[in-house]
Amino acid sequence: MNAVIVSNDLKEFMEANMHMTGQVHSVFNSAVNLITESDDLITLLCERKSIAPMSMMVKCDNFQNSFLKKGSQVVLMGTKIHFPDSREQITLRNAEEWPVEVDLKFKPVTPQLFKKHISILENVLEREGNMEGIASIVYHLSYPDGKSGFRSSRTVKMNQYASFIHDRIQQFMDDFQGNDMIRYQEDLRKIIGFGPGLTPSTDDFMVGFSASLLYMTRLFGIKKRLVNHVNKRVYECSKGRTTRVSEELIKHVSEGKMSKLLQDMFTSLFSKEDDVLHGKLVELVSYGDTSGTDLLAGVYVAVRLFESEEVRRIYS
Amino acid sequence: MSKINELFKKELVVVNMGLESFYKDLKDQDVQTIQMNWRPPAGGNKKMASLLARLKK
Amino acid sequence: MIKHEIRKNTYYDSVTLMLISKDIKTLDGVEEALVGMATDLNKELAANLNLTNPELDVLTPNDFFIVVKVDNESRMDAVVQKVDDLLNQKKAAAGSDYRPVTLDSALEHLPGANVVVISVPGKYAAAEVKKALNKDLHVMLFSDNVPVEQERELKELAVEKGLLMMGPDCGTAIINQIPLAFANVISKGNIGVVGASGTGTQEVTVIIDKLDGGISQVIGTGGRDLKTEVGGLMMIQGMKALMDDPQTEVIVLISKPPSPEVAAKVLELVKETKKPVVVDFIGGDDQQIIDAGAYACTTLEDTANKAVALSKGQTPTDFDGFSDGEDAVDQKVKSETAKMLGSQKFLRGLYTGGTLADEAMKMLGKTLGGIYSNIPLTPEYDLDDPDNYKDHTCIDLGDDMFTVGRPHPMIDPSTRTERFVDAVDENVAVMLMDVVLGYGSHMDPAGEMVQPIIDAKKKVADKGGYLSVVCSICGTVNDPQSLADSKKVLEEAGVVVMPSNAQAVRFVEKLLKSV
Repeated sequence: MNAVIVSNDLKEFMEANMHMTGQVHSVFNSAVNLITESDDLITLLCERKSIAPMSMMVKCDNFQNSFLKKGSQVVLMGTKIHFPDSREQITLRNAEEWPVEVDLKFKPVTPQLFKKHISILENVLEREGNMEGIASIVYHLSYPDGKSGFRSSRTVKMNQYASFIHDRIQQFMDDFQGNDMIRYQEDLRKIIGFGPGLTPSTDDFMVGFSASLLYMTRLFGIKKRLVNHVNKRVYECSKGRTTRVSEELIKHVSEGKMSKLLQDMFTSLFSKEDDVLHGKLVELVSYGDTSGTDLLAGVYVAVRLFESEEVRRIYS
Repeated sequence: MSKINELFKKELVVVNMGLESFYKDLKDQDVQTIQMNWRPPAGGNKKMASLLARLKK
Repeated sequence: MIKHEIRKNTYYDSVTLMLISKDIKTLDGVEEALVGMATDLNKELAANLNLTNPELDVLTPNDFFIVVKVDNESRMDAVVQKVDDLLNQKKAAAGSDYRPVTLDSALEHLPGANVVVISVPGKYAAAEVKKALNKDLHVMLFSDNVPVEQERELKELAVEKGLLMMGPDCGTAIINQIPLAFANVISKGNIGVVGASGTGTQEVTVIIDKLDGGISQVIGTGGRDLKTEVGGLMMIQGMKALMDDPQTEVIVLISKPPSPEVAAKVLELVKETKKPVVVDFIGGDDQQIIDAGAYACTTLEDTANKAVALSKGQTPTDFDGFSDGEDAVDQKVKSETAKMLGSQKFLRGLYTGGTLADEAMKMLGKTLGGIYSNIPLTPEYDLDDPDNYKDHTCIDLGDDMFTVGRPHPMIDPSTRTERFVDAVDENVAVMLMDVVLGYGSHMDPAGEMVQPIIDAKKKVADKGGYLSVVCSICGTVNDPQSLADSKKVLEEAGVVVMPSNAQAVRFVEKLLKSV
C-alpha cells in the first residue's frame, strides 16, 4: 500500500521515532486508527476523506476488505509502516507532505460580507443538517443580542439529546461571555462526551466552537493567548471523559491543527475568499452522520456570541 | 472488427461519473458498475479556488 | 425491563450507530432504546431515561453499549439479532461502495470497464470525455450545455479511435440489452437503432416491443449530432457499427430534420448495406430518404411498424390509423364530446418528452393551424409566458426553462402536476399528455397524474362542461414501473389511453374536428 499524502506532524513523529511498535486500534470503511506504544493515535485515511493531523492518506479500497485487522501488530519504521502479522507494509516514500497547522494569514472578511456568510451557514444547517444529534439547540438558546433562537422562522424541536444538554450549554455560554474561567470549566465537564456517535455530539460541537475562536482572532482583535487558554481547557476537560478518537480531535484543535476540509471551510467563512463556502459547508454536514452538523452548531454559537461588542472587548 | 462491434460482444462494465440514480439503476440490473466520487478540478485546491476568485473580480 | 448489549472496545462508525438506534426502536415490544459510547454523560442520560443498570456503570467511554427497555424478556433475542444484522449489513454494503475520485483509480478497481456514463456539469464534461476516450473507453454523455465546438472535437477523436461518443445531451441508449440513463426494457431482437432524440427513441423501441419485435442495439447520438457543425459524425459511426453487427438485420435512424448536407452524408451509407434502413427525420424531407433507397416514415409509431415488418421479412406498409379500428375510436370521440359546452374548442398539451410534443404539433399543425408553444413550429406562435395558456397550446416541460434548478419532469412529475389544473378552463376541450416509463423515470408517473386529472375534470364539470384527457403510455411490460397498473389508474380517472403518441394525437384531431 502506498501513502499519497502524509500530514507534517505525522512525518515528523515517524522520523523522530525510527522504530516504534503499536497495534491496529480500530478499522472502519474509510479510516483505520493505529495506536502506538507511546499512546499516540495515527489515522490511515481513504482518498475520499480529507487529510488531517497525525494521518496519512493511502490508496484504498474499503479498509474492511484489506489486511488491516483490529489488534494486529504495527511497527513504525521511519518511511514505512510494517504489519508483521500479514507481512504487508505501507510506504511513505512518495507521499506529498501536507501542513496541518491552521494558516491564519488570510484577508479577513468585512462585516457586511460576514453577515452573508452567516446566512449561508444558517441555510446549510437548516436545509442539509442532520438534526439527530444536538444541533437543534441552536433554535432554543439565548444569544447576547437578546434575540433567542435561530434567525429563521422555522424551528426544530429538540430531541432527547438536545433537551438533556441544552441548559448546560446555555450555562457554558453565559459563563464564557463573562470569561468566568472556573465556572465554564466546570460547565465543560458536564458537557464533553455526550450524545450519539463515535465522536459524541458535544465534542463535535466544542471542536466547532474552539476552532472558530482561533479564526476569530483575525476578525475581532481577540487575543490568541486567551483563545489558546480556552481551547486547552476544553482539551483538559475531555481527557478520560470521552472516546479516544474524540479526545484526539479536541487535542489537535487545541494545538491549532485541523483537517484540510475544516481549514478550507473556516477560511471561506472568515475570509474574503468565499468561493467554495457553500460547497465546503455541505461537504462537512455530509461527514459521518451528525458530526458535521453538530460541529457547525458549535461554529454558529461561537459566531453569535462574538457578535456582542461586550464579548469581543472581554477577549481582546 | 471495430471497437464498437467488439463492445457488442462483451459484457457491459460501466464507470458512472455524475448522477447517482444512473448507478443505482445499473446495479438493479446486476451490471458491474462503479460510482465515482467526482469533484470539479479546482475543488479542494485552495490556490486554484482563490485564483478563480481573483479572476472573477 | 432493561436489557443491555455491550461490545467492549468495539468501534462502529457513527452512521451505523444511528441506524441501529433508529431500527431497534421500531421493533415490537421495544419501548425505549439508547445506543452510543459509554461516556459518563451518556450513562447519565440512560439513567434519566430509567435505562441504567450495574453492568453499564462499569463501562468506559471506549465501550459501545445498547440499552433497551423491552416489555418482555424474550424480545431481547430479536434485538440482539437485529443489531448483528445491521452491523454485518453495513459491512457488506459498504464493501461494494468504494467511490474513486479519479478515472484512473476507477479503472484500477474495475479493470474490465468499457463504458463511462458522464452526467457532470457541462463546463467540466469535455475534459472528462477526453480522458475516457484516451483510455479507449466508450462514452455516454448525458450532460448538456457543452459547446458545439467541443462536441465536434470529441466526436472526431471518437471516430478516429473507433469508439462511441454518445452525446452531449444523450438521454437514451440500450447497449447489449442494458438500458442506460432514460431507456425502457425492450425484448431482444434484430432491429438496431441510432437515435438523436431521447423520447423519440423510447417511443419507437417501446412500440417495437409491443409489436413483438426486438432490438439488438440502441445507440444515442445526442440532439445536435445531425446539425452542420457536427456533421452527423456519431450517427454515421453508429450506423456503420450496426451495418457490421451480425445481430442487427434492420437499421432504424431517428432524428429531428437534419441539415440537407448531413442528411445526404448519412443516407449515402444506405447504399453500402443490404440491410433495410428505416428513417424517421420527424417531419423532414421524405423524398430524399426514399431516393436513397431507405424507408421513410410519417410518425414514430410508423417507424416502429415498418421496422418490425421488415424484421419479420414482411413488406412494410404505412401505419396511420388506429389499432382498435376507426369505428371504436369514433364511438369514443362521440362519448367524450357528448357533454362538452359550446365554448370548449381548444387543446392543451403538457408533455414531458420533447420529441413527442414536437410530433404532436407537427401532426396537428396540418389541421389546427397555429399551436402556441415554447417549442413552436413557427416564431409567431412562441409563447412568451409558458403559463399564459391561450387557444391551442402545447408545452414541452422538459425544456431548459422548466428545468433550471429542478429535475426533469420525467423524474419529478411536480413540474406538470402543479400546472395541470391552471392550464384548463371552460374553453378547453381536451388535454393531451405523455406518460413515460422505464429506467430513469419516476417510479409512478401515471399515479402522480391521477389527482390533478380528477381536479381538472372537476373544474370543467363545475362549469357544466366535460374535459377530455387523452394520453399514451411510453412503456413496456418489463419496465420497472407497472405498465398495466399505469393504464388502469389512468383509465379509472377517465383518461383515454391510446396505444401510441401518434394515435393519441389522431384521436385529439378527431375530437377537435367534432366540437
